[in-house]
Amino acid sequence: MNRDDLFKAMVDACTEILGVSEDAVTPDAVLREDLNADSLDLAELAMAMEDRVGVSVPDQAFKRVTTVSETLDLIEQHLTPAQS
Amino acid sequence: MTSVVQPSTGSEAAPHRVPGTAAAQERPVSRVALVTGASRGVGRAIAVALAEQGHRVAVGYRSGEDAAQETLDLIAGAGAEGIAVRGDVGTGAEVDAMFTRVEEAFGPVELLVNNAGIIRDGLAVTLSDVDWAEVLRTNLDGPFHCARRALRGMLRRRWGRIVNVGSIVGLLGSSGQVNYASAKAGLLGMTRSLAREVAARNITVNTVVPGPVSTEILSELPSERLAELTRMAPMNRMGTPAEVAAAVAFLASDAAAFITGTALPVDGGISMGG
Repeated sequence: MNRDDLFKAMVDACTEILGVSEDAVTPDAVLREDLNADSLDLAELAMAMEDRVGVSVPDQAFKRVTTVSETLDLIEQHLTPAQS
Repeated sequence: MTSVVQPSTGSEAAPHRVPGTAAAQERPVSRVALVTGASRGVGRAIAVALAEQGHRVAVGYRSGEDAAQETLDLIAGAGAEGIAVRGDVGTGAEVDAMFTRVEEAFGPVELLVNNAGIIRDGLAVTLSDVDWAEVLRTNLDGPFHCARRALRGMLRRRWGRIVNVGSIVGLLGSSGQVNYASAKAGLLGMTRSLAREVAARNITVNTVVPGPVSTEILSELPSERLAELTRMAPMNRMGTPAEVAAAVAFLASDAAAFITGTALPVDGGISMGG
């Protein structure tokens, strides 16, 4: 799964869970501030990305991400060779 | 082991409804319920009460397949669909498998009733590590495993009800039941923490707190302890499983949408004012 695929999955997850428009989900968008995500939203995003990408990211790590781009970095770190 | 009493319709779970709308008050919706420890006693009564409300009910049990089947027969008698799912709630992987079987048969669990529990009584000074750990594992780890698993679907659907079955001894303490009382007291902290975490998603988490109830698990207590417990209640009697089930069914209903994080005593007045 390449970066574009991951980004598309993230856009889907954000629009579904956060109720934001696709345009709002940019790489630099700050999840908590620009997309109004609270901590439970972040947990849901983690679950949604796990469903879409098949990658489980430790909860503690996911809580520290700030932007969409950082989230994708984190997920990429947890992709297995077969998934990347 | 999975057996379905009546064939599943295969239909998706009921759609979300906005609490407080006219539709919500007029027409009950059939939801998917999982009751752990439902092969007998209070759990069975809860399963039947939910079936009588028209819900599809999964009967969780660890042993006693025949008893679970009897509960299924009662569910069918109430005109509802039921399924038996076997598993040990103290083991996360088994809980996951139980939920998966329910999801395959009925769809995501919308009503979770954490009822499964065991007792291994003994004075603290001589209580074995095993008896301490086993009670905590089943009575406290179990509800957590089930709630965590259920919440994944409930969060997605922005709706859910979790009702835990506590015990008066979690409030009062009980000589010879340090393990059971600790687990049941812990359940109240779990209830309130979970309630706070998910309240904004239309998911409520509550605990009913029964006093002595005439069931098999209580019959294992010494007779003098039973008499003592009965005398404590201003009503001077034990409760029935159906009386506990009625409180659980209420907290699981749409009517209880604004109640969360509470401990509802069903104890004949034992804990009033406490």
